[in-house]
Amino acid sequence: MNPTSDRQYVIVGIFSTLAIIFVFRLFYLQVINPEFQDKALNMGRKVVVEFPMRGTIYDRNGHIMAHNEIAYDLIVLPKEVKVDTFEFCKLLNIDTAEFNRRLKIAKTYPNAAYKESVFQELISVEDFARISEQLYRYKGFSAQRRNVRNYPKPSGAHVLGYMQKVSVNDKQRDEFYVNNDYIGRSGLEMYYEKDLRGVKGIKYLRRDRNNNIKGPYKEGTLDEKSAPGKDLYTSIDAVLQEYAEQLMQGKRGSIVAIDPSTGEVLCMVSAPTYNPNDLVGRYFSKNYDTIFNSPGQPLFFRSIAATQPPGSIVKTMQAAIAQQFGVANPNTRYPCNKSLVGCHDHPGPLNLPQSVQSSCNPYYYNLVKTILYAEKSGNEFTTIEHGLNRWEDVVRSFGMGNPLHIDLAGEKDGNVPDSREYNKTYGRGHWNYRTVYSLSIGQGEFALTPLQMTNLAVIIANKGKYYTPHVVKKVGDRELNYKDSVHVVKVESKYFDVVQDGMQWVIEERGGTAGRAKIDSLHYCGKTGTSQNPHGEDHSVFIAFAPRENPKIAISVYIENAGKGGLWAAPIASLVIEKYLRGQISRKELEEDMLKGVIKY
Amino acid sequence: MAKRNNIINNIDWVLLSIFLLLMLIGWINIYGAVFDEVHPSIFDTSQRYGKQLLWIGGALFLAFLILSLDSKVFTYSAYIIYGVSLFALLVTIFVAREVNGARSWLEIGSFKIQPSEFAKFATSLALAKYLSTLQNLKANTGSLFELGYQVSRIFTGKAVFRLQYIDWKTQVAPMAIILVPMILILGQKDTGSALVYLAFIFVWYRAGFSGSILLIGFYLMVLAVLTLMVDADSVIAAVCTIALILYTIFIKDTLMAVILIGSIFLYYVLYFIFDWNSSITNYLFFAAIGIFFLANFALENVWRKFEKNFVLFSLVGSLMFIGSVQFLFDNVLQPHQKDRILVLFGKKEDIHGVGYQAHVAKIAIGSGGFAGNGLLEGIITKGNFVPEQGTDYIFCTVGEEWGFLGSTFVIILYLALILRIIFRAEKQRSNFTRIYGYCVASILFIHFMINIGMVIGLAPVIGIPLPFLSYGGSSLWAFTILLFLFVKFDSQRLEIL
Repeated sequence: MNPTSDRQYVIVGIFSTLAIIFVFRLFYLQVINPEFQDKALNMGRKVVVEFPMRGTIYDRNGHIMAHNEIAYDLIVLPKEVKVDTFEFCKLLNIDTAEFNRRLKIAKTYPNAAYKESVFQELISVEDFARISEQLYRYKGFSAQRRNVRNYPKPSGAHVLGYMQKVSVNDKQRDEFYVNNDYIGRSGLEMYYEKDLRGVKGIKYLRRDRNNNIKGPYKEGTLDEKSAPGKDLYTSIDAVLQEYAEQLMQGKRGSIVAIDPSTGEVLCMVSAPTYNPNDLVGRYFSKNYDTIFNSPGQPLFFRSIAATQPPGSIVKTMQAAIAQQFGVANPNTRYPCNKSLVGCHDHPGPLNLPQSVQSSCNPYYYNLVKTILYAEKSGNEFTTIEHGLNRWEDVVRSFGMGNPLHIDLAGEKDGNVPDSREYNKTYGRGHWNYRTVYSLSIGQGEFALTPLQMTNLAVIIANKGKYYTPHVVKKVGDRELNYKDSVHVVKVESKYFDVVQDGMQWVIEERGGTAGRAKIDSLHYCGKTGTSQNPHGEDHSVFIAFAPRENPKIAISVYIENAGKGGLWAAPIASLVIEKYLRGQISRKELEEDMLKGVIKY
Repeated sequence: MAKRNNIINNIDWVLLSIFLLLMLIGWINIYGAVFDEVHPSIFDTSQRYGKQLLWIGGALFLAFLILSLDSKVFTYSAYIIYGVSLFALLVTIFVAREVNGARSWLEIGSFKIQPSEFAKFATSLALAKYLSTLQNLKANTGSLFELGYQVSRIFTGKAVFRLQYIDWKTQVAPMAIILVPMILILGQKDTGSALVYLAFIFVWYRAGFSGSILLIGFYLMVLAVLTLMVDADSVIAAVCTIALILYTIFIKDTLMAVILIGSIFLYYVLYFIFDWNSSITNYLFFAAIGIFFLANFALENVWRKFEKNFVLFSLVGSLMFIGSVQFLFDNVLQPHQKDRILVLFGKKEDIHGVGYQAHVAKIAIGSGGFAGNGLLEGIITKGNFVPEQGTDYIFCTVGEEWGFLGSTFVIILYLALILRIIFRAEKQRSNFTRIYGYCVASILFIHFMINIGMVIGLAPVIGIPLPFLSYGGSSLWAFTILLFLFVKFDSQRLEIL
């Protein structure tokens, strides 16, 4: 026997130990630590995203309101960068410091030297044509096609809304988004974001060490096809929209027009406005600040977000409710007692339609008092408490105090007070009709959005019903059904005839408050309002619908600090109505006055 | 009873099967590694996978030839074969063209051959023959250790140098058999192939040389690694480890020895296998060991048992070794070799430059996951990210396309091959065959250790092939000859009485 044969076990032990160490190491590299698998994919797989075209937005006549322009992102892969910095900077019109700054950003977290990131975003097609010819010379740079919004006509900014680069939050909420994506931030762009954005395509490609593409990864089985965003077919009349915006130049306020028979929004102006093309692409942030800081808050979407006391336009509604509650009929008369509440000079005492025509404040002081005391319920306080809540319930059925759920982002609800609100402010039993009487003439705690004002006109035009107001009729191939969205108010149809009479006299009879709004051979109805506000001159308000029979358009015009409704709001509304119904304006002088009119703020 | 002359009955079919299986795995993975879409056929001889099939055919022919010749041809001509290979190595230094910094390929017309591959079996034959002729191996047990001890006595003035301290026959000659080809290969600037000759330490050890040769070898390796790895801490490392060795040798306290060796091992495992390397763990570890030994040294009765000369020799030797490792690293190694070592120890993380190969190899292996991506589906492999992935880095393809399961299977195959050779070697009546068997097992082991260690990031980048798997005719044929000489000797074991 060999003397040192025991040593075979030492050797076998050493050899086996090493093999076991290798197996453990492999287990660590391949099974425990997932980092290497990620790194392998980052290294050998190139992910190409195909950005879908965002849906186009059309007006009711098929005119394009918003479409896409192609632009290019310049992508950098820092570890590959080998360029003549001087020449490259000249090509991009940047200086060397800027070049280095951007390269540094591309290398630091969450970017990384081995990851692609955007070096310069949204280069226009014209600029890119010049760059692309040279691009092959600059290693580490490539281009990615993107698309940006373009608006053929610079109108409808608020309705269309703007888009902004996604935030960290957006990316966390929805994994659809990656860095440098854009997301709708307001208006239709935001409300219909998921329809408009489409489906991103993803292509996985294999690449080799030199970053050459070698073919599809896993034979393309993981690839996802892109699908373009859905087009939006809106009810906006682009011509009317543009005209209404012109009329609002130099003024602050809103115009909202709706087709009463469907609830379709015909135009929606919030003034001051801005050119939607300014809030697009790489100049977004610079222009955003400018627009944001300019006077009159151009980014504020007054049509759906500005809540104001509606003023006398609600007298139309009060007249209808009074009849419904059985406290008035067309012949109910009250004297114009200016000791109760201020009024202007007019003949009296007036009956119900005349009170609408002349907008007599004391009349409605008395009328609404009878509404609130219509049903006796316990003592005097509980009676008015009950009456106020009963009134509030009917008013809410007019779509007031709650959002109307129009398909735009950012709609406000306004305010219709009930007894709880006064109890909270004054305490139970510590308020009476003198406290709440201003609700009768649309002042005080009462507040509506311009959209709700228009909706009031719609309800009167339809004699007691309205459809959910909406801007979009069709999304892609899908017709949106609003036929079933009819809301019937808690006032019977027959009571609106008298209100319509009064509203027609507002325009057509001597003593009407909106004589300037008369349109030849068109019978239509309107009501002026003057919204008091603590900050200055009253707001000028006017609602109308036309024609009286088979109404085609209901409108509200509200102009800040422009005084009485008959002065500015009513004539402007009449111009919009004429433009919509007839396509042209016969009252050139009035039109000129209104276009040139500038309210001092 | 087995018939003496029937080769079919006497050859070891286990070895033959593992050999065939490894070649098959190699061929398929070369196909995966260098797949060319224009030439999708695995038999296309314009591609490496087709060529490898030719090499495999040649290897099978060589195996057949060896098995059919009389083994005496090789035993008798061992020194001649050795001499020829030394000559070939020498010639190569002067005539070879430089490829990747090394002059290791001999070109005859269009035929290219790497003499260093074939020198391995030649050296094995010569060493086996020489050691098996030494009569009194037992008497010389510990001769190397004895030599060291005498040197220390001379250095410390306890003795004067006398020539008879050196036994030329048992101490110098066996070492020379190994050192000559090793130096010639170093002359070709092929460090990797030269390192393979360290494998013969195992052969010496098994043949009867002092056990301390392995211990010292391991100790020096640890010292070198620590010096390069922890730098300023290296002296502390040296002191601790020296104390450890002394303690194990002289105190004969098995429990303590196990605890200490265990803790060093644990530290190594944490450091390398789980990439856990912070300076805090280093300091804590060394501080703990240092305190432990100071406490022990303080005990008088322990201290008395030490042989002072030996302690001194070990300490001086260790410090000199550390110094020379640092010197070697700073002044002798070429920049790319330095970088490879720095990359291994995480001191340099230039993943786009010198560290790229080690970095991407780990990614490729890791990319395979548990079950692998499948043949031709490895994303790193297919993108040609790993340089030399058909040859030295073939294990990356195994790892990526066949995953943990596949790569573990290959490791098991190698271990089985090596252990089977040792098992067969131990059955031999002939010293020659047993020693030759150990040469084969050790050489295969060193290749396995360095190559896979390099690919999975446990060893520096040293370019040597993975036996039977890597692409290339020279290495495949040389390994086939190396292995089948043993298979042949083994099949004739009954002829020796």
